[in-house]
Amino acid sequence: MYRARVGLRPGTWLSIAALLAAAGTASSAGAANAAVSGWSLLNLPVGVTSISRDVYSIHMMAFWVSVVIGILVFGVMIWSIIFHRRSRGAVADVTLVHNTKVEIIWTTIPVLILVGMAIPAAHGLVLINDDAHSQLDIKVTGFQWGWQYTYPGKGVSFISKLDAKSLAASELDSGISPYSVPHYLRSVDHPLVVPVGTKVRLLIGAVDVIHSWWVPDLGVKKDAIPGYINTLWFEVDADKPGVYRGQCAELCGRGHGYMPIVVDAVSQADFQAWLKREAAAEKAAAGGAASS
Amino acid sequence: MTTTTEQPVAAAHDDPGRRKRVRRTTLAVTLVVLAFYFGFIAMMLLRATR
Amino acid sequence: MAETPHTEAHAHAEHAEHDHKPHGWRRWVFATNHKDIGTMYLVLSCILFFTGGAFAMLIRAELFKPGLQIVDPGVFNSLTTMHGLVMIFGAIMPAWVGLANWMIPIQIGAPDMALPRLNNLSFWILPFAFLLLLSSWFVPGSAPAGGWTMYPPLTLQFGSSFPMLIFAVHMMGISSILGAINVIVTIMNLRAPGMTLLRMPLFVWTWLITAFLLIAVMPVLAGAVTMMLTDHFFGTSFFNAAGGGDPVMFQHIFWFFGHPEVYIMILPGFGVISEIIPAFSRKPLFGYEAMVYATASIAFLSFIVWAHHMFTVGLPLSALLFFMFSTMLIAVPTGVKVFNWTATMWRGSLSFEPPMLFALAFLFLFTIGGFSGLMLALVPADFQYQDTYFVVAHFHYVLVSGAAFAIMAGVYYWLPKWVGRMYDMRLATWHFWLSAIFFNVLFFPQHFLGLAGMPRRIPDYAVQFADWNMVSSIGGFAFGLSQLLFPYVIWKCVRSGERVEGTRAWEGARGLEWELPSPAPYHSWTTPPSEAVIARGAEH
Repeated sequence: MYRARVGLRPGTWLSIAALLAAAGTASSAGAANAAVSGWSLLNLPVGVTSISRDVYSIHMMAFWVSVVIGILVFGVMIWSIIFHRRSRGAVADVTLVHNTKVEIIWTTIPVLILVGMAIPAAHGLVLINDDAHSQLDIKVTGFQWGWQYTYPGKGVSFISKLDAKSLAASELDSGISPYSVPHYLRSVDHPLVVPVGTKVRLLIGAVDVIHSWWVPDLGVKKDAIPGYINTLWFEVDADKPGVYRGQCAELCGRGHGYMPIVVDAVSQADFQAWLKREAAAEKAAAGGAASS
Repeated sequence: MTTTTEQPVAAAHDDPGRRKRVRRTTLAVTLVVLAFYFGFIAMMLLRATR
Repeated sequence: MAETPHTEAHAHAEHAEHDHKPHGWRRWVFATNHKDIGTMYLVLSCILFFTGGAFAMLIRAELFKPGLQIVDPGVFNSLTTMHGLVMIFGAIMPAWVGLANWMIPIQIGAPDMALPRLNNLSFWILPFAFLLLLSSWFVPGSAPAGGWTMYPPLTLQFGSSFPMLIFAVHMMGISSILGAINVIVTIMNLRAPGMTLLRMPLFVWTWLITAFLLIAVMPVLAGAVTMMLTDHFFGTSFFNAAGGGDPVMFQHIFWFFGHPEVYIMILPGFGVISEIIPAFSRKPLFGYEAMVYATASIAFLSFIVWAHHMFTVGLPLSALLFFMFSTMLIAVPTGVKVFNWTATMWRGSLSFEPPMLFALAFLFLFTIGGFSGLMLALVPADFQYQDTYFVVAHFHYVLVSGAAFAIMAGVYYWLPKWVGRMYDMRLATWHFWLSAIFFNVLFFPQHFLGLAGMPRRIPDYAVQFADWNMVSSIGGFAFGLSQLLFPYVIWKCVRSGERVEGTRAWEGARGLEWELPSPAPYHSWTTPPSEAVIARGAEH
């Protein structure tokens, strides 16, 4: 008796407006922002480790399973919405209230799909968890707000914090455009350096509150918790040296957004050279500090 | 009904048996809640002070 | 309508003398009538919905572009914290209790809630709890900023706002527990003769299960925050690693509360949707019993999946596997529900009034949120998603649709019964389309942001995230503004809506509430409905 007399007119209007607006923003953005292509960042990075590729394939499997189920389920719903509407003269089939066979089918099939997804996921998880036989251990300690990296037995230990340029630009009403800062909020004064083609294990802890160490391209994230030593491992592909960026992923106070992680993955030879240089520099600094 | 606040209606029309059942259920549920509520806190405090 | 249903209206004429209501402020302060208390809950929820919404607008304004323009990072953290707390405990939960108060007695043929004075207390705790919580903005150090999850040790770092937060949470918890006791006792004892358990409307069923969840987990939350309180003031070290405590234990305890809490916010929504879809498909709900059992299974499973909120804390492999499998299992009963709703529409005779539109939005958006939930259950992938905007997108897809849209659907469905007037359907339809479209503009891009590597709870971000954040913010402002239509439509309806004739405001509506005259009398079902009336309402 109180049917919506307006039909779907607001909806039609708004759909058209939304489509036009979307097309407008997409085209103008495409023209203005050809260099910084934020629009194209839609998915997980494939990354540069065996773990990150595993994770990516599990992610894509789950995505496509969802898409297929979504098409089926939404398809039936949309079919009903279009063809079983009263305005088209549809008469309700009130006997359709229960069907044991159908109900068993739509309980069983999801179980099978879930088992199919759980197997690769469990397999991937076992691989991720296997941190034995690492070739290099690095101790990572989170604090408010930065990271300390220590290479045990190598005489190298340093603090890694947000770089000065980002820091200056990040102040409230700083007047400095974030676009003018290279890798705004994603660069540090002192990056973590690791060799490629080497199984690196991180021993992660924290001194004050909980932080979380995350670099998407490496496919790993682990919380840094006071009183705990968590481990994770990664092995950057031998042919993919480069700089990989991430940031703290657990709310840790007002500096949470300003706690980047930069991993510089270099060749084994370069790494050894860096280690030697760094150790010498730290020794000199410590000696200088002691003598002065 | 002479009180300024109105006599709740739920009580007005029901039979004594139902009233008794309401009381019994309320008591049972409340006991469970109290056991959970204070039991949990007490357990933790005991553990802490031991 | 062709056939005028037989009504119980005549039965109420003789009880007209009961329709006297107390006047003035006493009616509200000393309220014991379930309809008055329900109304107060709904009004409070609406106020807090806009309060929490205002915090969200500030968050989206700060995130509109990179760089810090509006608030200090500490204030930003307070905003995200308060947005979460206010929306969960202030907007969603009171709205469900309000709907429960209004509808449960009517739907089971009871004259009122079983414990009317307790009902008054459980409502009146809430305004004070939120006054306390919101006034923490004005104390030194400002409002709590450790996230709504209140993880120690971070939350222990906050000053004056900390005890206010703890006390406010205690008050909200006690209010919820009292409300839950009332719901359980009412449903167990005050059903009209003939209203058997398996004849109850699904809203009543889902609320009964929700009430059990509430009494099981709210004490756990109270315990967790009490331990934190003693850590802060009395020198205990439950969560303080330096004193031999364990910060991760808080997360276990919190999420043992927190995951059932998710279903506390969503199960009543399942109930509302299970009433609305049949009504506007003009067809009984498909698989009524399966729906009841699916709800109970979801409630049970919600107790054994909590650690999926903390996959990255360094759990042992066996725990990760267990919680991954148990979490994936939730997809089965949830799938059954979605399939049943779909089958209810199948070969129905559908019309698209505002309640149905919101129910359909629920169905589509909740299913999308379910898909991202399934992805989050897969531990290796979760290592990438955890604490990113992907999670933010996921839980807003399930919560805004599962709770907010379901509440709005329920209000648009039952409002004509409450006030005896019909609302402006054209405006309500606008409200729906604006909400549905801008919801997606607001939250869909957040999937992209999370996958591309943007963590949640940050006030500023790297420039590659700027584009989608701007889209999300535009969607946010539009979504927020569109919600103003909601109270306006209600206000207009109450003031000057067209009078509703007869008992059923909607042709396909079934159930005892639609056997009462409109507006529902101040005292309804003082004489229990007859078996015939109950049977007509319970045509599953």
